[in-house]
Amino acid sequence: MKLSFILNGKPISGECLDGETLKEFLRARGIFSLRDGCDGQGSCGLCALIFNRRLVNSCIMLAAQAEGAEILTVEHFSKDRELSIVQRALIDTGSVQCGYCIPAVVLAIHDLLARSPRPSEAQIGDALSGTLCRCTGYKQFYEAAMLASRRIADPGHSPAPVDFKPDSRLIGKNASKQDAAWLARGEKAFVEDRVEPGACHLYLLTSPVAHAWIQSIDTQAALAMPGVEAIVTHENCPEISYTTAGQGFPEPSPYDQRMFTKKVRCVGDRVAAVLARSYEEAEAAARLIKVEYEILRPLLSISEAKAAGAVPIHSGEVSYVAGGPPEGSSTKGDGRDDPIIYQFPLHADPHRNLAASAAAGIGDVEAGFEASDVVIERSYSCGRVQCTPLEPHVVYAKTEGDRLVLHASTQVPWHVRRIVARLAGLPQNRVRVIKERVGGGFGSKQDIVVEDIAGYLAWKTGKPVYFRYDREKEFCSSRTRHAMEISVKLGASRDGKLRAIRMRLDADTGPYGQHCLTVPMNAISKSLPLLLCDNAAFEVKSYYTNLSPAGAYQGYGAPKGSFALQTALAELAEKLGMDQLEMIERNRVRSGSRIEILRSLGEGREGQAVTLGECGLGDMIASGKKAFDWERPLAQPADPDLRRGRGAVIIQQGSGLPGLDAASAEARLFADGTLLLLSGGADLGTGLDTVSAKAAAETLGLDLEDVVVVSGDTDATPFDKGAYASSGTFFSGNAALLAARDLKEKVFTAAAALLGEPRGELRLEYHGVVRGGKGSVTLAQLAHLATQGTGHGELVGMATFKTEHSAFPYGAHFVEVEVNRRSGALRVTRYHAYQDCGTPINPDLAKGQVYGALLKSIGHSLYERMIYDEHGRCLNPNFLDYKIPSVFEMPEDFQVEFLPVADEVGPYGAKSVSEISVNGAAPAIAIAIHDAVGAWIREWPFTPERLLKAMGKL
Amino acid sequence: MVKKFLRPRDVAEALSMLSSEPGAMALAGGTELLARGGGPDCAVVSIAGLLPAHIKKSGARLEIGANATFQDLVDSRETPDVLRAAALGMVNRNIRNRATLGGNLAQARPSSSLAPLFLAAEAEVELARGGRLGLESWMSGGPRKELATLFHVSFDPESLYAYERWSRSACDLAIVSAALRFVRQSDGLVRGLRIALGGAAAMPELRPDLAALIEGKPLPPRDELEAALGPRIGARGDLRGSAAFKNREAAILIAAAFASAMEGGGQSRGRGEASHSAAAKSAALADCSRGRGERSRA
Repeated sequence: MKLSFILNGKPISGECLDGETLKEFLRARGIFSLRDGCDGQGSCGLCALIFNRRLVNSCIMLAAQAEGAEILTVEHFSKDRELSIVQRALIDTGSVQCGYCIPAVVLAIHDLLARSPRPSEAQIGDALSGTLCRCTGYKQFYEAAMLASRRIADPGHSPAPVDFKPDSRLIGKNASKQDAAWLARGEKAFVEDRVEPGACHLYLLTSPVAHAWIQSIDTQAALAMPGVEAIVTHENCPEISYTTAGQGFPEPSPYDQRMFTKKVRCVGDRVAAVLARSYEEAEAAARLIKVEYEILRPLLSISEAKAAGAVPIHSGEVSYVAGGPPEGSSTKGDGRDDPIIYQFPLHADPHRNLAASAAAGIGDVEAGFEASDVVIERSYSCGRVQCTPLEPHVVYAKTEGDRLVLHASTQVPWHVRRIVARLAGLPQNRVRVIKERVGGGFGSKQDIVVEDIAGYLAWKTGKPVYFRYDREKEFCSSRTRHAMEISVKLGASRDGKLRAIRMRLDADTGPYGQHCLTVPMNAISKSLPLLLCDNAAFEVKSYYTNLSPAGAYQGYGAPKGSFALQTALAELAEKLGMDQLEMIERNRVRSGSRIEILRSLGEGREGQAVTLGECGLGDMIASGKKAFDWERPLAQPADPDLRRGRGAVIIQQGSGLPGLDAASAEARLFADGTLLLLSGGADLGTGLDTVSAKAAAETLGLDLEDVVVVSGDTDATPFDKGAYASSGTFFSGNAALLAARDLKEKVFTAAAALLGEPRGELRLEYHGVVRGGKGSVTLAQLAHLATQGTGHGELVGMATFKTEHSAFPYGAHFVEVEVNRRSGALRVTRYHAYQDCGTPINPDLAKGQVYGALLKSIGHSLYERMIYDEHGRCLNPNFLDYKIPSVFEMPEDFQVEFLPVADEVGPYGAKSVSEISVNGAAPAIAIAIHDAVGAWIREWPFTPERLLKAMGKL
Repeated sequence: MVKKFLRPRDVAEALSMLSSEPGAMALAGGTELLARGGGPDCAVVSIAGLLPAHIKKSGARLEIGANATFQDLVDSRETPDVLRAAALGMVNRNIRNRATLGGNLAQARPSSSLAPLFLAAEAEVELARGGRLGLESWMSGGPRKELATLFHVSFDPESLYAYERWSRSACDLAIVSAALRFVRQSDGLVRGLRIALGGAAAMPELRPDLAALIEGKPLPPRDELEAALGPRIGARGDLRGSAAFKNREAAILIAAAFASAMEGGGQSRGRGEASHSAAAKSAALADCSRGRGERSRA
């Protein structure tokens, strides 16, 4: 039907289909800023536009409803590459992270300011109530709205500067994130924007049952459907076993799946992929695939999976590339299931559903318990939560000549290249992976969830392949946080000194074993070393189940280990009649501590005890105690139903994997004195590119504007292990720093020859000037000379960073909650996070990472939970039924404070910052709940229903 | 997805399209109908612009056009606080900007923010074909109920009204919600009590059985009231809460509604502290709504 309306001030007319949504209609006409996080359910707000002066979601409007309307999109505010007052304010407050939601936020704040130029906090919350953001925690959006409002009256107003490193020009100060303007303008940036006309679409047919053999699969009718190019099933996919975990090779995860398997192991498991000229054709064809299942009993819990005689979820031949199976384990296959290959032993017994295990410790734990005055043993349980990046898993794969090119939304471009090359039967140099802007990853994009099928099919058919998960697949067929059951036994003397610790942990890895050892091990390795105890032991076991696949999620295993151990410590404090912070104080690590437990936590190799350098935990705890007036009892509300309580925990993480991983960068000096930094690092909205740019600019005496970063492109940039394990700043940032230093050395060599002065006399000064005792030369002059026939050749710095040094970030989190004893309602009224990330390179961007992590972990602690029925079907795989925090879930008093202790190896003293921040919420809130109402709650999420039960009221 | 989009010139044509086109649905804001990528495989009859959207007050009586959006209710100066609180129970502004009263009440979802209050306040529905129906009868008319043009509802100054909701997180659908209307006589007796619940059954409904426990009596102490109500709620459990939990929360909400109605002198302030009640925000957003009101008058 014919349609006319005003779009961004200009009349537009055209033909629309009756059922076409307004979002589809506008995207087809070049309005790329309209994003989609909820498959047109109207629940994420990322497709928002201003329709007749009101903010609405364009995915739940038909184009036909726009007849005669006036519509504004973010493109209206981005004319001639200018930035509006709101876009500028979002950038200046560090609010732009992955940027997938930012166009919607820009519009929401413009709409607000048009109504209320001086908005209250309540009005800002209301304005943002329809927009979901998983990265930022919303806090800085408030600051941005306030800043924009202030600038309406005072256009020159700037936020107060911060400076965490006064002896540096750029480090420790705020600066615009490299890609922030790009993202705030809503331009093409994500995989979905790279799809060309004529691209084929891939539809994934998934299993409706949790555990079954595929008896037969008939694709004849589907193949005959119009538009269908290819169908892949277990019958015609490569006979290659692999793991989808994007970990360094050889991976500590079993190769326990093929691209498609004869046996489906969860609802949502892969059955067939249909490639067709349109999504609709692919979906229609998939409906005609006939599958007969031989249904098996699903194992829907750890206890079912580990029960004696349980049906094996994997029953193929087990083999080892290095080493051999543990004694007593079963390796002989049933002749039916696919083989399982371990790269090295993980103490597994897959036919008994044990995907991996580990046990170790120091001292004599039993003797420690014997010597204790008080011993407690408690069990904690953590349900499955979903990472929910607003941009789901997505890839666009195509051939270019004799090469395969993948535009990917990934944290691990090089692991994608390695795995896809193997599956497509190509050498690695024939595959190029280009990491586009990533609309949120949070760990789930560390796995090869969509790239393997798309890459294989693009190469096999020669067709361009677009493959994007919908939200339901994101829940059921991507990766979730491992569910865990953790038992903690603590023994202490009467003075609160720990005598023995034992942690026993069972993890539910789901149908396949990606990260099956490392996630649960991380629960131990990032919790136990916070406490000094001569006798400590742990045992972890990771079981296959028929629930959704588990994998990496921000924090990895640490949030669960932290929940169990920190809560148990507070429970022990209660038993001893001691303040919980006093208990922490008696046992925590401190400057100079020798951390012996690290001997048994070697991340897959021999561990070593570490003597800690300076540790900032004391200052962080002191700051929290002061802010929460810890020594005085908490004032209680007049309403007898309401009780307040507070809790505090200490947390830690690592900064990459020392001795295992490496990151590289290359710095190229151009003839005008500017720098192209080629970083292997994968910035997923975290600001890693900006960290790298700053490290290089600071080192080379340049301004930030002189540096452009190209990153995560396997053709253009050197190798990097990827963005995981809190490695971004520490590894990739250090690679950039070292590349800049390497370039600096080459610059000095060239300048020494040119100036006729000894190298030792030369200094590199701001702004790109090499000065000697007698003369000087600019970087531009040196780089220009490099391009001349008489010159000294291209000035390129290149470096790889690797280290044996562990840089631990620490934190202390303080929480206050208010519990309604009648209804079970719980509010987190105050949340203060004190963090030591070493020198914060970009303080506001670092804070944004922490706010985002905190709000995610508050969501996990309070109400996020994947709910399954008795058949293993997830009942809430969408944003209507699985709630992630909205702007209203932000605690009223929500603060992040950095108390930096510079690290000697980190770039300009920096350590990691983001992942650690998800480790505190669950234990701190659990402890605060107990402080408020006297009940311990040992299973997350702490729903009102569970709280009422814990209080004995339901 | 929607197969056919029909744009009638007037209400009469809309009615004829709705009756002649098999399976046709009336489309207003579309926030329910179009959710999940274009909505059902059917014809839709666009009624936007054909139905009134005004909010008119005469004395205690409010006349609200079926096409008024939830945000119109929030913004209007004619809207009593308790009704604004209920409209803000739809917490997401983007949805409030599109969702219409007519559409929301026609869907009669258990989580509807307005239905319980309108039921308690004895709202009536004016039909496009002429004639009026009580809201309860109209809502029970199934998915293709008759097209409504106006809603009539009174907020009589002699009566007290309250609305409360409970949800997992602020922007979630209500797990349970409760609305009340009653008169508290000078002798302390509760008269004319109507209680409506959302979230307990397949659609929001009046609960005369619960009202009868209190009607004509002094309001019992809170614990006693909750203990009397809880076992009689009979809620259906779902993924947002078990039946036992919902029964408990519904009883708490009703008791809280009594308390807030009496505190607020007839206008709910909501429970604010813990129920994610939108009412608490109502006052905070008042200047916002005034802002729009003033501009639209100008």
